[in-house]
Amino acid sequence: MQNTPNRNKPRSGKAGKGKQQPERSQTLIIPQISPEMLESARRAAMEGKTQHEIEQAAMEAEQRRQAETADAAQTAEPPRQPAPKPAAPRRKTRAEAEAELDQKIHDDHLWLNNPVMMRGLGLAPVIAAAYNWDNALMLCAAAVLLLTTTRVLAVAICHLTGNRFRPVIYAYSAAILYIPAYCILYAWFGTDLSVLGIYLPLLAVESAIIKRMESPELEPVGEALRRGINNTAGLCIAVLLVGFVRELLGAGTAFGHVIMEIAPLPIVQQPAGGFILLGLIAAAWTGIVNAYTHFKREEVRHQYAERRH
Amino acid sequence: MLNVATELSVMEAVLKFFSYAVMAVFAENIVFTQGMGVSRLLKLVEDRDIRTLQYCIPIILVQLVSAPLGWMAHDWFFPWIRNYLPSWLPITALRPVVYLTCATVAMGVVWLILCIGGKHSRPFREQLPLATYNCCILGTILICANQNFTLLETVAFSLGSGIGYLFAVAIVDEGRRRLRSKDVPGVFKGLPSSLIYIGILSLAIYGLVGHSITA
Repeated sequence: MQNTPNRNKPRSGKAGKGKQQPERSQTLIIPQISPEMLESARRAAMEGKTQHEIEQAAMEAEQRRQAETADAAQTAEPPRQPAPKPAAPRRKTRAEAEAELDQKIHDDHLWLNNPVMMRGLGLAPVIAAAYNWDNALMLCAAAVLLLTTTRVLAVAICHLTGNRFRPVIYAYSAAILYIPAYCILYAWFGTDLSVLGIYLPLLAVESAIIKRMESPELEPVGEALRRGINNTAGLCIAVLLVGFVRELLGAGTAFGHVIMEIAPLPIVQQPAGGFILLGLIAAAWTGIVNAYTHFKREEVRHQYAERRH
Repeated sequence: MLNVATELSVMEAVLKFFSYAVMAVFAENIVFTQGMGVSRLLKLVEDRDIRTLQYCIPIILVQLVSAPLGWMAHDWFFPWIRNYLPSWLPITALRPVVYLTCATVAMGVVWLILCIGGKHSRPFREQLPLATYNCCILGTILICANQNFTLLETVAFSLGSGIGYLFAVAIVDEGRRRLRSKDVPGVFKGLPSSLIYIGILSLAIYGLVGHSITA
């Protein structure tokens, strides 16, 4: 490597001194050289310019070209950027999915968290008064008129009072709303309403209607309306189901029509039989709900087990 | 100076009082024969934070104080207000609001009584509103009104109902403790087994008495 002559350096020694090579025949190596620069350098070499002049000319040409490119870029419209892709929804973790499922189960007052069958609310009228379809229908109508309206009215008043005196507000809301509700029910059912006895006025303090008074959290009015409707639907389904089964077993009739000549189980029309029958129906209901929730939980578990791979 | 007739009438009244109270505790138990207050009872026996007496003592006191108020409302207030009501408004529509007012006044009286107890009565006072707005209280007043009980009978029946509720809570609490056994199938645990248990007790009372008063 030491003996390798450097082509860019001017030669020294005898040979160099005797016959000097013309500089224009030298090959120029310019880093990152463009074809235009190469052409201009070749022309300058042909014209007999020195190396310094050639380099100077090449640099000027390159600067001009860069300046022209920059001007063209400024005057031209900026290239349209591709629209940013919408951020992909964040995948839920397993804990979040399970929490969401739990919340869904909790909010489903119709089947999975039925107020009567799963939470044991509103048992007094169901056990003692809903012993046939007609009574169940009247209780159902009373619940439709009272439950949601009481909850919404009580929540609205609680917002005004700063969530104080909740028990008094809930109970009185139900008792005051009972007055127009009774008038409507009387117009619908007439004197048949007296069959329900004390269980109709008792709805004013029934836990299915005023249970919310025990909760210190104040819910928004819209949420109270939504939950009230859900609870009403759940209560009605349970009351009608119990009324139908008790009439069938206790009197051998369905919707007032004779189905069986002999009543298979007359005791279910008494409160004692009502307790036992409701316990059995609640057990069947719980079994179905448990199976369903177990299936859904397993579904979530499998879904996240597959994702891991 | 008391004569024999007066002594007999006093004895008769005392006997009547106890017979109505005992009837309300056992034969006409508000929970087992009428199904009232069951929802709250089932929550109560599950709640380890609340002791049975903390909830039942306020119920007994409110029952006792609200009974004469309910009797007065039924015998005095309703006949009087009937003349002023419009024809489209049946008087039965006002029963819950009037009887709830009786219970609320009773709650205020009991609150003052419990305040005498100072710090020791604080747990009872905390449970007082929930105990007052219970089916058991309003149901007892309504039964007494429906049956046209006299003042003495009303007070006796109300006192018996309160004690009967305590009796029912104690029995169901014991039953729930035993129903936590592993032998009980999963679907029956909790509410279903409790309802069946209460139903069997109710059936026993029904078999003993053979009837129940009209509600």
